[in-house]
Amino acid sequence: MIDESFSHVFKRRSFLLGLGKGILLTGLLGRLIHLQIFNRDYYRTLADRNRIQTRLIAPPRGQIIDNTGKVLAINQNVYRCLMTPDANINVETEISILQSLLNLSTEHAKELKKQLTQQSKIASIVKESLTWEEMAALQLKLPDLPGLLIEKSQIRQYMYPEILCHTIGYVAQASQKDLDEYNVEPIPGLRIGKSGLEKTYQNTLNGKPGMQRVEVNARRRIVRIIDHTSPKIGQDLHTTINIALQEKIIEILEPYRNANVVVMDVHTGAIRAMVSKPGYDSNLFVSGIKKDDWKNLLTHEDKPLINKALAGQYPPGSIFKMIVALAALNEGIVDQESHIHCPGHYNLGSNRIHCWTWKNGGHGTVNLERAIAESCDVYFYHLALKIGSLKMVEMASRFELGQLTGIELSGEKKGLIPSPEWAKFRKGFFKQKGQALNISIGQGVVLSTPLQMARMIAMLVNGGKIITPHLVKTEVTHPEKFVEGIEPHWLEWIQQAMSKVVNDPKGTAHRANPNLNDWSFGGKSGSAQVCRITMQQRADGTYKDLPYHLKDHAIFVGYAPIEKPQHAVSVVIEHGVSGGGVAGPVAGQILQAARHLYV
Amino acid sequence: MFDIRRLFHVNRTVLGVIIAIVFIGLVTLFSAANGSIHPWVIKQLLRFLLGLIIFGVIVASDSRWWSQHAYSIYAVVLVMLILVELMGFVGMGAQRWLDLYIFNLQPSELMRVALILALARYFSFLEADEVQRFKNLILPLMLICVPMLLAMRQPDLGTAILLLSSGLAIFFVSGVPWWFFTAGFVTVICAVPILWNFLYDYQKKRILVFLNPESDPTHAGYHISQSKIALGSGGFTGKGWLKGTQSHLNFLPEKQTDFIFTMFAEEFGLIGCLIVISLFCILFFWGYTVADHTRSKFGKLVAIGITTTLFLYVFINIAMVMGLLPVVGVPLPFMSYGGTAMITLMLSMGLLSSISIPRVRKGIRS
Repeated sequence: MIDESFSHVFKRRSFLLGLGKGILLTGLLGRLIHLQIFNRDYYRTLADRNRIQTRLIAPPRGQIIDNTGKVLAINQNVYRCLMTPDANINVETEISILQSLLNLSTEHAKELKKQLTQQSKIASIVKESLTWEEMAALQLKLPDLPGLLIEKSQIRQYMYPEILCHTIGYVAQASQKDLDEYNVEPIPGLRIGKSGLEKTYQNTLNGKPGMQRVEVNARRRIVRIIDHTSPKIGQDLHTTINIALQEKIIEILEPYRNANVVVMDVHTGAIRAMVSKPGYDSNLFVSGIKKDDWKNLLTHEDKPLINKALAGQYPPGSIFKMIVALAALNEGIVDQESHIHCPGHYNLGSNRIHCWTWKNGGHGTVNLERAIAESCDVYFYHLALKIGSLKMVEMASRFELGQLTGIELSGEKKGLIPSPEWAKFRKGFFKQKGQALNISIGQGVVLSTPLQMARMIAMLVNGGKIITPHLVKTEVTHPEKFVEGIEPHWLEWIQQAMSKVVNDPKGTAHRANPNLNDWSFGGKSGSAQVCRITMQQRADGTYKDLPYHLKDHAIFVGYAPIEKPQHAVSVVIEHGVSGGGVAGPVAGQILQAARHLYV
Repeated sequence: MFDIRRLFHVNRTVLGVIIAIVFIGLVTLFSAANGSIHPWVIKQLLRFLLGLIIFGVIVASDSRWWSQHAYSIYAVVLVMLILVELMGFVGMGAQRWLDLYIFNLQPSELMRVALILALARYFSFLEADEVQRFKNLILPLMLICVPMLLAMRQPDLGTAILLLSSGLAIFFVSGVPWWFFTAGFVTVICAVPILWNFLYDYQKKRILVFLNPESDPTHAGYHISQSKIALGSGGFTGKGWLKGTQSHLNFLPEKQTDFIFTMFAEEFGLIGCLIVISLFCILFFWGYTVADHTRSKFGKLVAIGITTTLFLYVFINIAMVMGLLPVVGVPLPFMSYGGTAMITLMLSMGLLSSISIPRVRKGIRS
């Protein structure tokens, strides 16, 4: 049946075929050994990288607490959903599902897509603060959404968002720059203090992130937790702020569009309240501020983002007169009894400069006390010309005007007190009589911030002790330092004069007098000129009809109680016109509130 | 044509090897189901038992019957293939099944046996000098090409390749002259650009990805790269039964069917792989022994055809999961989960056994 030739061919050919198969099998074995023996570690690493994910856990941020223990900033528990970037995930389709489930904006969806396709290593937050409906909808769709993770987390919540916005500031999603600056690992949802105390005390509040290694499956679902290090909670921040007082001040400032207030403990420099109006809702920033909101805040003409209590620079106006008085006392050219006649104007060469009472024929004969209480410009013009600008600005510097106070907030401005260095490029500045007259009533080049003004008044009533304004309770006590070249009884004279400002019927702020038997306050009013008022305007009284933005700023610095000063306050009502008539009563109400609310 | 006594002459070692491979397959399927006999182990076991019955029936049959009915069987299977083309349903993106209500029959799998039978029948009746003439090769070429093109249309690239290769193997051992293969090879090279257009997009993509795996590591290349990670990370001893991370965390695709070798390799390492490959080698070797020993020309050709098909299954599957060949969808014999493949394989083994048992024996009808 089988012929020889076939048998021969078949044998040879099947041998060849078998040989071929043998070679192929050897190839397979070689490949197997190559993969499993020589490259085992490489593939083990890849397999581990597939299944093991290291997740940093954001530490709960420390709380911010007021001086009575009330909580100002807390962490709110929320549910959020995250998406892990992975090659295995179809970003496009998932985002479109999420978009419909969670009502994400097109803009947000685009941003998310960008984050996920750029293969960043950390998960991207799809949405925070999920509602129960959203959670339920997500859970239902979870099988179609590999890489999606729903988890509990915390976000910052400010209890007094509008009231304390400038002091506490806010946190927001950390940018790459922030991460570098604070040297922190990128964690999804990590927030960094961007302004206020949140920014200054970022490292204190932040704590230490925890770490979790989890095993995930191909759909990026967590199968089990391999190990877990808990995050270290950030430290709480105990501030000197009294929230009740702060709230009260906001209430008192209700009628005014732009105003700012600083309340300070005169002995320690502890800030009890700090208000800059208008403010903003600091909670807006926590989950990423919407573009429109941000644009509104940036372009708002009243500049709500700026804390004007420390970044607003105003001519101090008449409140600078105490500095001038001390400079003159220091030079020995006046004493308590020195008299000067005020006819309502002052002639400097051919120029006639008016005292603010010029219409009524001036203050008449005034001494130091009356000059302060009734804010007589002419008196101070005389002193200014005798002692010169330099002596005045030196005294101002001793009261730390024109310098950063060192408060724990960023954005503070220095103001301007002309120094010899500053005058280097303005030849003969200190010799110009006109400048001296301007400076003596706190106008011209002189600028200071409300915080500096509050400190100045505090130092005038605390016996000349130099204090540093601060917002966070500290244990460190510096050796006490006092303003140089000041006699204690001079300060007493000044204090008496400042008491008269409110408590004497002729005082510029006597309308602010609460007329209480057991309590009264003192202070000094000031008006900061925004634009020069012409003789004509002064004569016909039309300066009162100036548009809002050209009206004078009303300033008042005050302290209370008279006998044993505890609190200093500075009030700036922008374009409020009258320091004594507008800012004074406000300061009075605030000091009264501080008396009742803060022990 | 049946003789139950033939069953006693079945090579027990071979049967043992088959059972061992099936057992390893079941163990792996158990792990693939995360430690459960559902959904795969039970069904696979039932199919194997059904396969054993078919094996028995075929061993009991006389191989001459198969020679006589080779063309009819081929014709029936071909009709089934065309039926699939006409009324088969679409599943898994590939139209490969004929719903027989009991299980889904893949006629293309059956064709692998039917083609071998038909070709063996054809060449066994051809004289040595007739093989040299081209006109005598036209019919067997048609026998290969018609089902191959149908399989490609289904689309089932794996089967098409298997049909062509095993068919050519029979051509080769039948003594078809070298010039034929040379000419064929040249023709194929020239035809590649034309055939390329017949391929489906996903097939093209798989081949392109195979040629350059880095071109698309996320999608089409994902399966292969994950498979390589699983294999490589298994190392020498493996990660242990039920402990393969790649497979249990679902990074490995199709772990119960085409990629079962990877699943096994991750958990049992190189040692396990060597054992499985050795078991298959025993079957190959036995196939060659049968071809050598049988006195029937038909039997010799069928034995080589079946052994070659079995080899191709094993080789293509393992090479595929190791990234040496494009993913063409060829299961690993006796281990991959799948009904028709198991039945067809047991049928093939039955045929081999049947051939191995001499017809002329004392007391056995000749």
